[in-house]
Amino acid sequence: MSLRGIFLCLALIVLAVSSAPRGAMAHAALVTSEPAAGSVLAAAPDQVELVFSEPVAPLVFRLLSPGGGPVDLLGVSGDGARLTLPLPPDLAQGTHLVSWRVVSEDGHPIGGTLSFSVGAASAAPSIGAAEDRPLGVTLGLWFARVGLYSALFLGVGGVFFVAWSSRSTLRAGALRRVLTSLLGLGVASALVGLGWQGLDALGVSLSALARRDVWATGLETSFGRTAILAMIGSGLGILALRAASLRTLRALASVAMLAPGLALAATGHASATEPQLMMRPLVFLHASAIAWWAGALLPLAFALPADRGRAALVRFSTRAPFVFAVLLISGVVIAVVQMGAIDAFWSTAYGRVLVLKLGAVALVLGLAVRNRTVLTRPVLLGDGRATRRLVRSIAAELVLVVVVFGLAASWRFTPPPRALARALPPIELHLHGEKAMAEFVLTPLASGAATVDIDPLDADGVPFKPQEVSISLAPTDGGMEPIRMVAQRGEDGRWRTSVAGLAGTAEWTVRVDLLISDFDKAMLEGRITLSASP
Amino acid sequence: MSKLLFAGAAGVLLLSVSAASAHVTLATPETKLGASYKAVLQVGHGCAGSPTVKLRVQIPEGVINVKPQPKPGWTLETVKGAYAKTYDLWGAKVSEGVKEIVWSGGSLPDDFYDEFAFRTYLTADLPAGPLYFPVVQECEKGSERWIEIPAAGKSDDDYESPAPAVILSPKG
Repeated sequence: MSLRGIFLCLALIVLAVSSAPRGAMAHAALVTSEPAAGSVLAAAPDQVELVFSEPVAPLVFRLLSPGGGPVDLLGVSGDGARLTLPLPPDLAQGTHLVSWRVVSEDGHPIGGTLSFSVGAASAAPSIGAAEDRPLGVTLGLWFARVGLYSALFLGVGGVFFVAWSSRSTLRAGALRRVLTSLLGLGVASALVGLGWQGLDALGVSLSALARRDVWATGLETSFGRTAILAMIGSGLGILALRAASLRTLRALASVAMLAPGLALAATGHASATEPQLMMRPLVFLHASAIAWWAGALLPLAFALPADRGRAALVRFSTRAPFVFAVLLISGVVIAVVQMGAIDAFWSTAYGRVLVLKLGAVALVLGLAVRNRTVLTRPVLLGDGRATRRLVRSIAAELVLVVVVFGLAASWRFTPPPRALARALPPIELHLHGEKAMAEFVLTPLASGAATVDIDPLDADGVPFKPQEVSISLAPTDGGMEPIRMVAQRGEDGRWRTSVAGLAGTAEWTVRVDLLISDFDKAMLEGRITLSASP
Repeated sequence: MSKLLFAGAAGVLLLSVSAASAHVTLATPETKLGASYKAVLQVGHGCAGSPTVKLRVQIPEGVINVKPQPKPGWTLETVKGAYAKTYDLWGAKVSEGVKEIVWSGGSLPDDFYDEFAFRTYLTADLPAGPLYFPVVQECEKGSERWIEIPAAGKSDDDYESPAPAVILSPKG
């Protein structure tokens, strides 16, 4: 054994003995951190700084990022009470957890976990990923939707109106051509929409458009059903326009008329909202009413100047108020469910789009009321000037309707306030112990945070009021340190707290401490799995 | 040889780190059942830097004839109550006694160490193994509860604030 080796061994032993249990020592505590716990950063940080109440020695540091397992953080440097943890370059968007474990002066190890997010928190990647979408993908998604709405509402709706109210309007060949082009646009938009939906779902740029998996993915999303229904509806509409007999025209047009409602009910924020049994039929009604009402505009605009379509105008005028009522009532109910709170009108992007859309709808409504009350009677009496004014007014309505389509299409990029507040189903857990039990409910929010509700029960399962309730959450694998929280008692007897951010998919160990009396604490443990969001 | 020594020394270092603690602990960690035991609580720090002003210890069932040692500068109180059963103490029947001891009114700065002692008799009815004395430490600001009793299959090291314990071995 070399002299140097002996010295090293002696040094180690001296160190070991001197750091053995001693008497008077103090506890270290984490005072602050940079980034702060729960913060959302615009850009990925390159390091984490931890500041403790007294000097500490670093032990173990781990990073848990979205979609990955825990990684050891190496190269941690310390300067007394301040530790600097270098992070890997280019952290992904989403919520990251940094687990730290240090030894305070007295040799007592302490640990904890710090959570921060880059870009946006990652409990709901489909929403969080919205910001880094390439412009080409955004535009494609938007145009495809505007095209689909135009084809379904003006095209299919137009064919339906022609079939049931005024076949004679078709004799103007221009109307047939316009309707056929709109329906063709519908098929094209559905195809474009599929590809771009695939690009967006996979988070890739336009250059990946040739890949098969992009298209397959687009087809698998809920928009896939919408695109197929829209293509079928548009195709039936084109066939109907070429039908020889009135009976065939009406049969095809009637089946095609199901497409607007079904296509919109198949996808979108509103249709995905609970209770779906109510929301989907509402969306169907809303879309069908739009198609019925907006579909009449083009045939009337083409037929009236040619001195045709007065009978159709009569039918339209008598029924339009009822259809408009269905449109407004279904729209109001959907909006109320989606918005949740009044301030969402101006505090969220979804709300601001809704305000613009309501403004455009109000203008359309104003024109429609004027048309019906002022212009319809003279037009039916054969007043040429009134007819020209009515046609101009209908043209203005058409422009506004397309504006409304454009606004509705932009909702593709704005989660409704309802989804921001609560997107994922709660995770429930019954925790069992000898002294006490607890019902544990963790509700992940789309914002990346989560709320925790605890119902304390005594050994017999009867609710009771502990002195204190505290919760710790730690990823089960990988030796991460727990996130600790103290719950507050609500008026309903439930204890509540919130977590700033939890990383996507992971098994978590939950511990709930119920302070039964000054000296008696029930410590309940369980496990939960956070699944990736739909 | 050198490697072995190295490993041994490193092992001692690791052990001493994990065993080291700023917890409130008992000075005598092992004793025998059916005998007197002098419990000495070691208080090494306050609550996150704040000085200790009160220490309360709960006497577990089966621990009788409890007599706390007065401390200059501290007011000593006991809470008495009935035991769950009657115990035999040197031939006498005992059915009630001290259930909780409270030292208050003093001030122990975070930088200083002190001991709080009481004499007990550990009845032979107690099971062998660890016996926990839950302690609540109250400070000028905040408090610490040394009341965590490890679940089956776990040890003190699995907890942040374990209750001070003494390991009891059968009367030999």
